[in-house]
Amino acid sequence: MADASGYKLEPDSTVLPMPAWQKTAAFSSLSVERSLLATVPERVLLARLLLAIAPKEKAIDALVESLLAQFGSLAGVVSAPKHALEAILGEGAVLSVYLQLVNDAARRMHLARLQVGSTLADRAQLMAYLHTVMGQEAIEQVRVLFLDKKHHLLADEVTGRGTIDHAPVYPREVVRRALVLHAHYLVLVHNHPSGDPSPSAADIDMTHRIAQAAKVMGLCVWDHIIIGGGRMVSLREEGFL
Amino acid sequence: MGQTFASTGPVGHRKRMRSRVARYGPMGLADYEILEMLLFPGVPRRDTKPLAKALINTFGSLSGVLGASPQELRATGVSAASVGLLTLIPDIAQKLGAPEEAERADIGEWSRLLAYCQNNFATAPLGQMRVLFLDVRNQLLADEAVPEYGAGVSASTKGATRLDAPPLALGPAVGALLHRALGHNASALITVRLVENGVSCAQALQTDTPFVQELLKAAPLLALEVYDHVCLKGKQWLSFRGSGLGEW
Repeated sequence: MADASGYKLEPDSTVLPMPAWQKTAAFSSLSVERSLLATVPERVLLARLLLAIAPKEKAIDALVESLLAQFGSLAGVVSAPKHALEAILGEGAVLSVYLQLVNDAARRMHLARLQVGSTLADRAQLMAYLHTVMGQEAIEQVRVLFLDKKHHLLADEVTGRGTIDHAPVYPREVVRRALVLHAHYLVLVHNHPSGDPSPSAADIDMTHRIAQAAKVMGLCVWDHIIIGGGRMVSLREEGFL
Repeated sequence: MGQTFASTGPVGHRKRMRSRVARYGPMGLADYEILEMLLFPGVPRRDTKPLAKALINTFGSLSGVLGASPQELRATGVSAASVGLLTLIPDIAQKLGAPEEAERADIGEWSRLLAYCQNNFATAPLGQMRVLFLDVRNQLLADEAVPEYGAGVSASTKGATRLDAPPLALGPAVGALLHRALGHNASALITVRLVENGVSCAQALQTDTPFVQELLKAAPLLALEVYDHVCLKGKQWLSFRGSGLGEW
């Protein structure tokens, strides 16, 4: 079976270069508070990682602090998009390249565990995978897990990226893609950057529209999962499907 | 005639692979290429492709290699340095799979907003304007000082922030503020003027009116909501929203 791989619709543009308000004194610099949130083990892990990549790097502690101040946590640093990393580490910097590599290696590890048998059997593993790929996103992203009749994962694809509180998704395109992949079951997934994974009325409505479209082709929307704030809500479990 | 390639050997392979990832990201790499690159830092000069392929043969998959113990990896010929990097990855994967949710200050209610201001602006320079960026649940994303803007800035701005560049005109100043809002992925914002000595809250509100009105016009175009503009002086405050100075 070929690698099930996600693809991004467009280059990563979730970090916007901002006008530098550097001359003003940042009095309650939230960046200091953010870096304090990172635990000691996270600091140590990040320092060890940077050192393993660049053993000759001298300013490891300073780098750890500035990365944590910018991204809040180890997960934030490793998930950071290229532009954001390069803003701190330098364009094309080896450390930036390797943080992305490590992120993708971790993603592949989680993905491999999902592909053992039924993708839906292990809730915790599904959550771990979804968090790895979407947990740090600042905008809404819709993905579809395309499964075969035995619930084996055929592909995981991002179908839409939106804004802070909405992402577009087209039932027609989802179903079309499912037909191309010979999928039978679909699991819709999206994130709520607000941190509250409760489904909105629009979320429920969209789920039903896609489910109805899929049913026309004999396909089944098995679930719609919303992740936010470290939690996962399954619309199937909530009785919406 | 000059040659296209300085050497026909594998010179520059590592640099090329790094450039590839820097440009296109790691998703397009095959599993063994990811492993090959992860072995670079621990193996100074040799081609790591054979080792990468041998490891995947031994452990079944990239995932298998990354899940192997340090002893198993060493036994397959992986250097101590490479083992160091490879064995960190499962721990990082674990962190990515279960991120901690950072606590954000909730300033959705008026009393909480005021409490935040009292706690955080006590030592800020008077005359400064601050902007609080909020997410969709009214939690604080960022708190920044707004650079002083354009014509009409009063003589008594010695408490205000100093800029090396001349202050922006009103329009561009509002644009810069909203640019920051987009950068923070904010849903809403509140501006707070820390009123300086010799000026009353009412006077400060009057002076700020053109800025706030411009902000009110521009923000909705970017799906940003301006909750209010507040003039704060010690324990006194005056809200733009409550004052009837502009259309809300």
